[in-house]
Amino acid sequence: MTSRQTDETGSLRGRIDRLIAAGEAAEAAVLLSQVWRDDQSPALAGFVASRFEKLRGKLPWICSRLAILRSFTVEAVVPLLRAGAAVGGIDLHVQIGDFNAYAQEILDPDSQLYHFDPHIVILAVQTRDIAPELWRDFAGLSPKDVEACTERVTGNFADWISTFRSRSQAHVVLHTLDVPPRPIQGVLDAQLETGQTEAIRRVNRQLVRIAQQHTGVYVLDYDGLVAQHGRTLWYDEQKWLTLRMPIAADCLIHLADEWLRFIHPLTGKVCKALVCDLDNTLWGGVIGEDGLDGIQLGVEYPGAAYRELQRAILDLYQRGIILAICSKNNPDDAMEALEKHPDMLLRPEHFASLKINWQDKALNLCEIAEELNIGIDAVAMLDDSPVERQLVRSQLPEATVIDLPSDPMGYAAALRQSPVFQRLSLSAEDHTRGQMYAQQRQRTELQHRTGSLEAFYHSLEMEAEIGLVTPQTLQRVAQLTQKTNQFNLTTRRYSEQQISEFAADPACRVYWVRVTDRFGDNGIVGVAITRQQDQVWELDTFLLSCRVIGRTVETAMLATIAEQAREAGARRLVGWFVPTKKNAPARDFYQRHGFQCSTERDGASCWEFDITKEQIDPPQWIHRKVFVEGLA
Amino acid sequence: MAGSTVDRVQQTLADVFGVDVTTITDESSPDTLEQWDSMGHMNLVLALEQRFRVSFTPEEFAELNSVKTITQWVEAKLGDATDLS
Repeated sequence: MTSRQTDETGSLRGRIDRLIAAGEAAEAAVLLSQVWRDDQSPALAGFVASRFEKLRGKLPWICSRLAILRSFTVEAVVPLLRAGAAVGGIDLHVQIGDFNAYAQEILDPDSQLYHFDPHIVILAVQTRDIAPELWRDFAGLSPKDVEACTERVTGNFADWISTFRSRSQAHVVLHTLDVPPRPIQGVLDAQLETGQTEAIRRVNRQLVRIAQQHTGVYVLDYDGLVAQHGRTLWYDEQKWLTLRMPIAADCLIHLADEWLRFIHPLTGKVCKALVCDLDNTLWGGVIGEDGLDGIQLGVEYPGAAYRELQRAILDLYQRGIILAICSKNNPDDAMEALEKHPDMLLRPEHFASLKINWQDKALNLCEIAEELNIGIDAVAMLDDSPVERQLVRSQLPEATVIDLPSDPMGYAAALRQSPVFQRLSLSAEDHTRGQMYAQQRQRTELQHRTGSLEAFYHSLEMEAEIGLVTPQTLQRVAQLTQKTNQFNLTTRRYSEQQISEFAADPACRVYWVRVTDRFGDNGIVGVAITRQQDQVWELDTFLLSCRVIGRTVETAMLATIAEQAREAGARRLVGWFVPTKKNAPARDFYQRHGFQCSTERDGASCWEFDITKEQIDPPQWIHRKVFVEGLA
Repeated sequence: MAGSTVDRVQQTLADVFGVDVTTITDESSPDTLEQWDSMGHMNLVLALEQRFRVSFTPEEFAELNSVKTITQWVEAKLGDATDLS
């Protein structure tokens, strides 16, 4: 931190307080975020978190309740965590469990943990607290003792997680156990399969297995995090002995950031698309001036920094992140580099949208979002220019702007660490999403060629498979309820656990629809959840991924549900439309299909359809295949 | 950070406890500031250590109970160095 920076921070504090007093919440938030980015220190965390608290209710935040169960002092991490969360658009309410009382809190059904009703629980337990013999007394243990200890510890974790899951749907983030910075047996430890390090790692492998046996339980590689920052730098032995606070002041932020990498995907505060600048971002130099041979890109310094960033971007693409380009350049120059430079890892076919022009970047980002059919809050921008970043931050506060350090050697790491691209599970769809978006471009071209909409639908040769949720489709179904914003009639978010419960309920059915067409497989793109009560089928959830909006798939789904309801002896279909900021595309869905509005409440409307008198015609251009075997 | 050590100590207190710096005086202590409880004290000392690049022993930790004594300790640790920020 330089003196100049802190001077600016000093005067910014005054401006922020004046903006808050004047009720200028959005502007105050932009400045608070700026202050936080410049100095993510324990001191400033208090300032930032307290001022964001004054803006509560005035910003479009996602609220989330986080319980931290711990065996050590974490209080000093919480201001850093809350400041970072607020900057990322998450209003975090944090409850810290009593010191070293994590087991009691999980086992006691009446504990403050369950009263708090958290969305997310972090279980942060250190090796020296749960297995002191492995940490401290290892030299005196026989292999049998070691085995008994690792079994006790894994057995404890398995019991706690099962008990917790039987009482709460909350997501669980489970810290792995840390390995001591200096193994008791010195260099000998690495020679032995029965060594101290290996014993702790064995417990950690079991923790991964325990997590896999439940839905919504995730492992945080705490030992890996400590190692990443240096074991000897991470620990502060004096603070541990006096305050039971094992982590050095400089490393607190790293734990807060790692927690945020879980909290972002768990609260849905993630981005779907990355929009990249070109000059001095994907390569060094300016293509329009330096030319194809002059730009820096390759396996040696300095071009290697840019190639590493391209590799990080390609890794995101392979995990289902949509890529786009937004660059102030002459299109011919830029395309020449993208197509012909021998060291480019990213090529035009990786990008779903290319905005290479001289118009304002905020405007370009909005156009890209519209083209990709996603909200601006699902877009992240990657740009080396602090000026462009500032412009987008002030004009599009909902968008995410990734900060890049001044040294390009740090670009790839900055992108890889970004919380908005973290994912806790990958579905088959994620692996092929980039390809699907390329196919989408071809479909759009076809629509322009075929003229009439009906001719276009026929030419797509669509096939819709409709079935009930199975263990194989559970994850994708839950993911769709969590992520779909536009064509979503009720926007109810469900975890995998909750979807399984619907599936197990004889009155309910969880349908998915998978759409293929002449360009390829779109994967599972729609979900409907129905609940039967007497002769009424209520549509609890009805949603469609933006990938297939405007192709009448919703009609095919609804027609199928009407047929199934009729077979089950129902007389009426009933469904609510609950408006949100984003679901305008679904607003006239019931009306379009002949439903009558029966009630309105708080902006939401209830619609009914008499299936004994009327029917819903399935679109003739979609070939339907209905399977009705599922989980239950 | 601009200003004398005492100004910077006062600003650190204001930041950690989320209060306006004008409410902090040389005499501010756990008795005058409700946020300055035992957890607050820990956060404060960590923030001071991190911001001034100094470290306090457990004995000193317990003595840092007013703006005045904190300023004295920080100045003693910084010695003649005037700008370590």
